[in-house]
Amino acid sequence: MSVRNIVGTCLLLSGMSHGQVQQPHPKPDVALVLERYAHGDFTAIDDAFTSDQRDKSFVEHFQSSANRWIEAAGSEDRGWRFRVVTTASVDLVGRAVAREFDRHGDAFRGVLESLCGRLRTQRPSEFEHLFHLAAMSLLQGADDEEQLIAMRYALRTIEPSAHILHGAERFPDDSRFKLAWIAMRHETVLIASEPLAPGYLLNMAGGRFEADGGATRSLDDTLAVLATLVDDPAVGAEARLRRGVLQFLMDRPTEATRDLDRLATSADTFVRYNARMILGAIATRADNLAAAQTHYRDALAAVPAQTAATALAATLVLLGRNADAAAVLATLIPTSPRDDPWFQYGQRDYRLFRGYLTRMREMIVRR
Amino acid sequence: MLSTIALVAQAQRFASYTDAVAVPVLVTSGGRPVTNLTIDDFALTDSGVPQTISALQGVDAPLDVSLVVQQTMFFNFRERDTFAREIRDVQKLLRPTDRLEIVSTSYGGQVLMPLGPPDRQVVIPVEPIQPCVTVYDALVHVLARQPVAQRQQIAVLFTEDEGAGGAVSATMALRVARRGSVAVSVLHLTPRWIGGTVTVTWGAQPRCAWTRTAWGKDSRDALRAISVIPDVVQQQQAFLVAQRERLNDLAHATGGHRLKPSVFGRSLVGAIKPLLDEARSRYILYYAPTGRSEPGWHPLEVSLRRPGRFDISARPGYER
Repeated sequence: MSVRNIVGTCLLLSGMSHGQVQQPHPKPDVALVLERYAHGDFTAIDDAFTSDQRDKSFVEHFQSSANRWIEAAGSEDRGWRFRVVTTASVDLVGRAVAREFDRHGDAFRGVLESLCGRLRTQRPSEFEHLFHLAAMSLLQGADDEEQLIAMRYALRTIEPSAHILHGAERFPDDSRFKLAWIAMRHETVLIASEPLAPGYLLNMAGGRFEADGGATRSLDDTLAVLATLVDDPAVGAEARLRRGVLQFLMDRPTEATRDLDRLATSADTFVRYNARMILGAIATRADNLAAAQTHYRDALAAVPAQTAATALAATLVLLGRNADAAAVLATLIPTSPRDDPWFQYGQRDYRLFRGYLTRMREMIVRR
Repeated sequence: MLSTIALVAQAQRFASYTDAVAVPVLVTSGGRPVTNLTIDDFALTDSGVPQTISALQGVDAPLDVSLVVQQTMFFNFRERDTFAREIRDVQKLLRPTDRLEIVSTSYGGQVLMPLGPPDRQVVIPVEPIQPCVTVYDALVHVLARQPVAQRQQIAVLFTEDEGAGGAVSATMALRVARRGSVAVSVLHLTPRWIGGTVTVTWGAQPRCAWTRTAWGKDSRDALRAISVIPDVVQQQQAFLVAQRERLNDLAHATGGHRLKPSVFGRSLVGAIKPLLDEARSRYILYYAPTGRSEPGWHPLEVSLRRPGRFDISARPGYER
């Protein structure tokens, strides 16, 4: 027996004597999971997805088993099974992102890329469209700029594997991909209650590089690019919101107000909430506390979230209405930051992921 | 006993605490608290105008203690259980008549323990690896509370910096603090390496994302590389200093203290006990302002009529 084997055996025995030898986790029956999922039991993914199994080997097992499940079907069902696997995979990755699982990102990222590659060999479909939107929103939630725009920091280049490009090429009429590309500019996803220095807005200190091949860009250039979408029927409200917020952060309250006033009654509660929050911040800075109160109250009415309640409470204190301020905070039902539009702002389209996944599920489920 | 008598004697003269300005005052002589003062020993001016002190809460008033904590500080303890043990040690310093609350600075302020009896179990939730720190939002939860008569209200903020991305600006938070009666003390934590991952507190990048999985090895490597560039380090340091100065201003305006970070890292108790001892040695003067009703900052000055050498520490003023 070699020295290495002796040492290894000793370590093993030592571990066993202390009960530390870890038994391999049983791999889930992926075919069963997928069958349940396909028939509307979406919790099947969770049941098979324990924290200990969220590693590369689990993902590889899932993918290989899922492929076998697809191949096992008759030819008339393979297309459907592929869509089931796609949806379940997106669901799986969604759980990883939601749980802040920051290890083995390459494995989960690989799942999306693999599915993306396969879908793009087929005729474009509404299902594929939803997949690209869902996958993009997940990558945005994971802050995975590398895969979104395939920016190689060292080389300062854009790779053809940029995921946003995949969706944009297949569905060129969907302006959400255009907005997503613009939103890769760091300054379009910042939100704060007071203006910031231009250097920080551009994140020069962070060393991030421009998405347009290295050319110097200014904040005004970003405003001009956003302007190309502010009248778009699908994403115009959000583009205008991000332009208005950026102008506020650049300490241009007049221009910001011009944009945000138009959004103050938007049917999109995400847009309305954040527009009102920034309008409230503008009013506060102008010492117009009555107007600030109105804006924060409307934000709270749009979405009963904590950031509006906190801003409103602070405003009420400044108005000498401590009892009302305390009541606002006391009666607020705690909301998850996940559901707070203020905190959703920096996550680009991640807030839309649940909707995309729901629609994908509706397209594949057989009851 | 003396404090109770003093309070009873004033009750008939003083109709309402809610309209009064509360001024916590520490009086020492030779470094030791003076605890036998009466209402007639004190004199107070508001914006230079002498005021009638309507009531005096003597020393040893019950405390309302608010701990406002940056949850990434768990990593300073390496594990949450250690933090929970530290909290239990703090709870042992408090009396049954005291109240304790713990608010996290994460994501707009998360109440880990609402204000109440000190002998409760604190539950530290699992937090995202890179929570969004919003110091001023969390402080508003403490500062926006209605003033409570006959209780000393102190808050201790443990934070590296202001955080980023809150709904309440530093300017607004300072104004709110100046209107209240909570003495806020600040203990500045120092940036730490967390398990080999660089923690870079840019502060001005208010991009509080709910999920920050940051999968990309490239971006982590880039961030690590950036963090050691001299210009970047210098810029970060300058920004951190500016943020800490704003926090110190808030502490000063409320009659609180800036605590030395060297104390921390060993125990919360080491940082908090002196504050509790001082708070228990403070009087609270109550008066209904007369002669000066304009909005804005009102400087206060407290003095003693009693002969002798005394050091008086009181909040510098308030805003109305």
